[in-house]
Amino acid sequence: MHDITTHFIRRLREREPQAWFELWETFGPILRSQLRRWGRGRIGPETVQDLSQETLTALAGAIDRHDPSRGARFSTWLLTIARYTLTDEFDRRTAAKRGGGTRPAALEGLADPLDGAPSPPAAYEEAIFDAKVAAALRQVERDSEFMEFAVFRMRVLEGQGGKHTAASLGISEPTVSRRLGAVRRRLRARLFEIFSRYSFTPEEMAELERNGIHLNPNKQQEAGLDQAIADIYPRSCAREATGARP
Amino acid sequence: MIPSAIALMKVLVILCVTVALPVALIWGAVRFLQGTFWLLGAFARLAGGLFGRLFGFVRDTITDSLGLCGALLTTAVVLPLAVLNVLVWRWDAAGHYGRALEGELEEMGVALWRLAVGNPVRLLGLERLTEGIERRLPRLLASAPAARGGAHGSFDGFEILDTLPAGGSGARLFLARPTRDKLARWRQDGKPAPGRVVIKSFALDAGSTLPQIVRESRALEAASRLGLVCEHELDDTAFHYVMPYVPGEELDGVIAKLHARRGAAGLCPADLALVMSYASDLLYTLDRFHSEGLWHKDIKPANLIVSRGRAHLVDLGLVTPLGSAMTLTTHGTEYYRDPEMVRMALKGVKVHEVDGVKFDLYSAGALLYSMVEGSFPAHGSLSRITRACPEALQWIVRRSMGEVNTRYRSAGEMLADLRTVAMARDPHLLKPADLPSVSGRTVDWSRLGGLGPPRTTASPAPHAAPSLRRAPRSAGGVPARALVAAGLWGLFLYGTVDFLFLADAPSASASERAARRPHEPRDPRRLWARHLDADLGSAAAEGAIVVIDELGEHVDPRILGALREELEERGFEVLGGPGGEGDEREIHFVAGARRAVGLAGPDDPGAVAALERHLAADGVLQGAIWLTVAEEPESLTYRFVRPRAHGPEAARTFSVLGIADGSRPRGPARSRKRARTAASQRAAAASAHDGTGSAD
Repeated sequence: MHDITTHFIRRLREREPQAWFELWETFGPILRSQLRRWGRGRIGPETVQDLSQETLTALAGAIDRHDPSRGARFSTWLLTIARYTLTDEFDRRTAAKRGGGTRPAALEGLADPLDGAPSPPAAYEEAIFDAKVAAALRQVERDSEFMEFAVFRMRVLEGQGGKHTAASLGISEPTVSRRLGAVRRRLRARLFEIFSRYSFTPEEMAELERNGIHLNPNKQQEAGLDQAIADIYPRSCAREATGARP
Repeated sequence: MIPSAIALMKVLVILCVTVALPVALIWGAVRFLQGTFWLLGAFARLAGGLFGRLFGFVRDTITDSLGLCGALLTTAVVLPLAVLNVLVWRWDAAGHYGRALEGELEEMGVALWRLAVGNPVRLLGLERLTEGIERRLPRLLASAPAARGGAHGSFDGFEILDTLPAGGSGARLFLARPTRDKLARWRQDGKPAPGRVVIKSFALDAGSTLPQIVRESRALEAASRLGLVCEHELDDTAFHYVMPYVPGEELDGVIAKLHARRGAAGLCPADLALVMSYASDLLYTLDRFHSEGLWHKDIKPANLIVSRGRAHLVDLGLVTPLGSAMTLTTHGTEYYRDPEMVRMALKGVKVHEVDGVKFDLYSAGALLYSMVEGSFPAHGSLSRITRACPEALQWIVRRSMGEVNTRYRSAGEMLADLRTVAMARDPHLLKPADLPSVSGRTVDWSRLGGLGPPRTTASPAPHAAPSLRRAPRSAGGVPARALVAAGLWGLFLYGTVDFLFLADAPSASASERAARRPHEPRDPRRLWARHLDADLGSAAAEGAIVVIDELGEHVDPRILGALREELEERGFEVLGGPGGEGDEREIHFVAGARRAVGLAGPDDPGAVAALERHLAADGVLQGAIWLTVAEEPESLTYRFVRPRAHGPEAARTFSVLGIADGSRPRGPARSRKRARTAASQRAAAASAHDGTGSAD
């Protein structure tokens, strides 16, 4: 496991609020979407919201017992905890219906939530990958000047031409290229950092290259970053927008 | 010939018999088998259905019987506890157990109903009979408003009209009408005096908690100054405050309808203009909040009420003073709350250590996004805009939701950009580079919708890029760049000083100079309201009605809506105009009225005579108000005329919005000169009428 990952897990184990917030910001939407899917209309948006928070609370308990040497993927680990949280909620509801009060949380007695967990579906793995890319983009937005990221947004995320971007923002085309280059460099570094943080296995790390994003690209691979981001970003937005529309 | 034909016929008959007969037989057999299988299938389905029903009946009967037994057992345990606590006078605990018993009794009732009626009815396939009682009725009862009045439903000086659904704050909401004495007192104190109010009431013995009360009460003084709260009262166990009632629909409902009309195509230009006007209303209100040192903290579509074409920000539940020494909390609504605020709250910072204005602006951007896109920004600042939206408007959304240091600095700055888009001939042709915040152009408020500048317009940037850039990270900057920046700032400062004080110094009087100097921004509606009070006096108390006469073609419906609102707040019944009744009904009302005040458009000199004709024989036309649109959009005037029969004609002319009197600087010299000329012309006209014409 990468040093960044172990450092991040240490931060989580030390209950550092910022680390938890990062985890929540990056994977909260996926957890909510997954919980909604499993709930199949039986749980409302408020419950989904509560459950996704409970998932992170449960995760706080599980992180101490997590054994990274077992080679499980980060995504599988997260999903399993979410599933236990939902199962626990349904058990609680059934118990409440019977008038028997609440059952203790299922995770409390569990040595490691990965025991016997089935492999998550491909769509979920894709969502996790996209969430990591989105987290890198968010971080780059924070690191960049507004105009720099505006150029990147228009050129890469929205697919506008360089000429149009320059005219629209009132800057020259060479400035557009310069700013775009600066954001690209930052994005590569952030992508590597984020993927290192949220990957437990080398296979998860290799997903970046499989999707056309190289840390040290040659000339041919250079253009692949824009294309890869341009593919991933709308896919990720469309996924979240499905849950956002009334 | 004949024998061969006969032979042919024979062959044909033989062929028919040998081929067609077996085919017919096979067809018949297949149909028979099909029928048999269908019958068998139907029988199996019937049997399966019956078995399923029977199984369901048995299962439900067992489950309900067990539930009934469980409830009986729990009651058997809880009842002695409740009785015991009553005996030892522990009322809180007794109440607690009493509520538990109530739940158990409800459980028993449900189980008994299902055992006696529900399950047998379902067994017979007649579940539609009981569906209403089992499903719809409980929902109906749960959503019914609370009973009127009650322990905390009686307030001095108010007549309770109804209850409103409570929000998540644990308070009870009442719709009420203030008594005449109360209204008179409010007017005397210069407070808003609406005809209907909402009373938000907290009481410790009604389940409210002390933190809720403290949270709600901490910003009320400032909210009162803004006219958002009429009064508030706090004692040892209860607390309530009174706000003007804004009837209307929540913004999310309005937006959903707009998007439902057009589907995935997005908003049409008219709807786009409408949502921009809602966003402008919000930003104007936010600017007032921020200038009073308040942070609303819970801006979301459900907290905006659309009434007569205007959006009103409601719910003061999370309002926090910007300079509060309290620790920042994560309260707010997800997707409309800046994630950065959550991050800061988790760090444990104090409220005064963060810029709450920026967080409100994030929410305003998120709200604008949701109006344009028809969904909430699930991806935060990275949310994609897929529906038709001008590029410049997208820029505004992006900048308001962007990183906190590069975000708009004030609601005024964002409002200037938004109004530039709203006032563009074709918003889709406007580029982000044309926006004031990017180009650094000063904002000519008089050209931006006539609603005046916000209270805290940001200082205009001398050049686009610096206003959007973050502060340099290191001190080792390029000297040449610093020199250029300093030069630009110098030019800007020189221009500003020249513009404000020097340009017309030789010819301008001191008062004119003062008038051109940027003055303390005012709330134009309050000025307008003061004039309405002066002109209409006690007419409302005497039962006068106001008739708005076909103004829709001449006057911006938003302005008319605001006027209508002002009049209704004074207790007038307003007929006609936007949202008003039709002509026949107007005439009917006018005919029955003893006093009336007419409101007429600019090209309708016969309005007074027409109104008088429709009045009852002993009716009196108190006067007529003309709303006149002059050549410039901001100089909408208000003219009050008394009919000759009731004394000399008195008219006053002034700007309804309080900004058309030439007191506002207008940027380029030509505009300034034009404004001065217009102001002197208006002042002359006003003094010619009655000497009170106000350059207010």
